[in-house]
Amino acid sequence: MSSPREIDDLHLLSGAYALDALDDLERTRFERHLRDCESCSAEVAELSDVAAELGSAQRLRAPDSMRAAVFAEVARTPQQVPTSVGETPKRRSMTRYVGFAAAAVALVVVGMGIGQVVAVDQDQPDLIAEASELVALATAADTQVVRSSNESGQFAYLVSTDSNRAVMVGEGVQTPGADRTYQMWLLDAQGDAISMGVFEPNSTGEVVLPMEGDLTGAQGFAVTVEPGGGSQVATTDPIDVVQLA
Amino acid sequence: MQGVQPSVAEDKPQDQVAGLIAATGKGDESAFRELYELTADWVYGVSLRVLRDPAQSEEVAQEVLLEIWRSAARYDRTKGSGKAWIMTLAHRRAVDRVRSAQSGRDREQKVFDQSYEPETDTVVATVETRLDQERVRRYLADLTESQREAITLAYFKGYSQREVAQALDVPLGTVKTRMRDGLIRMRDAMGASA
Repeated sequence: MSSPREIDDLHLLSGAYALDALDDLERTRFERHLRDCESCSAEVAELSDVAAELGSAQRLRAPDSMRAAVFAEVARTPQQVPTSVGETPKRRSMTRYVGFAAAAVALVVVGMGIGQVVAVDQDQPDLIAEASELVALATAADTQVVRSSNESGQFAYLVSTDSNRAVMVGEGVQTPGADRTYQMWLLDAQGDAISMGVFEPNSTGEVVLPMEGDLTGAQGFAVTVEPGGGSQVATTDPIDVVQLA
Repeated sequence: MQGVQPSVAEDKPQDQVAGLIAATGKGDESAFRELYELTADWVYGVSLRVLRDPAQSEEVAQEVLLEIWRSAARYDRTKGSGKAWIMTLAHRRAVDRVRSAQSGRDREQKVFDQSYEPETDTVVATVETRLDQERVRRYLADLTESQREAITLAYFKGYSQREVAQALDVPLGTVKTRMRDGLIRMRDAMGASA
């Protein structure tokens, strides 16, 4: 996908990465590259050790007040589970959706025919049920489609308030960063944000996030970047906000 | 274990930090306490070096240590040493803080302000710290001037590679190469003396 020239450039970023000298976008791209490039991963591990030596040599006695504060927090802070996705209510397994994400994105974002979506997936029968659910939503009489595009990617929201179903489809979505996850929020009439689950793009930057719940009175949706596992309430400014008609 | 020369990144049997992180990830609070005693001074020290403000550094260090507790189960020792994992969390958090605090104009000015130098004498260094710093200074001294500049601006001041390029008035590609070559040289020197 990347040209040889770009790959060359990426290999050279191991030092800047280990020194945290990349901006968010560069870091995201490089981390994506690291997943596929063993030699870069090995080099990054070694250079990060060097950087760690630079850092730990700056050691300085931490204030005693800090120890007490940290241990007090630890006593009431839950830990994350080892998997990449934490437990947020209403979350559904993303892996099932990844297989047909490309087709779904094509349908929603580019506007391909529905027949084609089904055709793409007919060799994956277990996905057809999910695909037809999506198609049903895409064709429901009251379904609204709201698109938005920002630095993090392109998003399309299909929302049927009559049937209490919604799905967000993303394309070109950047990874949220190490130990971070995207979280979807429903904005209700009271101005509250209700979690609709966490999500991460697949390796080609695609997302299909089905949302279930009471959508009556939904005013819109917002996406935030949260610590891995998601948050009870949004802790950062949204990277995407859409309003329903 | 006898006479084997471990490369810097290998999962050394004595990666005590990695072991403590793994135990912490399983909810072992006493392992976390031990981890705290071992690493809190590194975390605080690197924050202070980057942020140059004790109150902010304490805040950042506290966040980092809590983050270690929260996400210990996500640490994957095949990806790197325990110390590197912790120091990356700490340094990145400090750098994020410095970059968001110095947005726009203010930061650009600082990039060009050559008089801005870390005042190492503002901190009372312990003997151990001095020895560590002396060791690192020696490694840095073995680099070329241009490698050293690029690495210290990035690591100790939190400059992005673009800001380093701007400050040194060299192409971005040159900066990438200097950082990488410099770190590789230090890696080799550290490996040789380990």
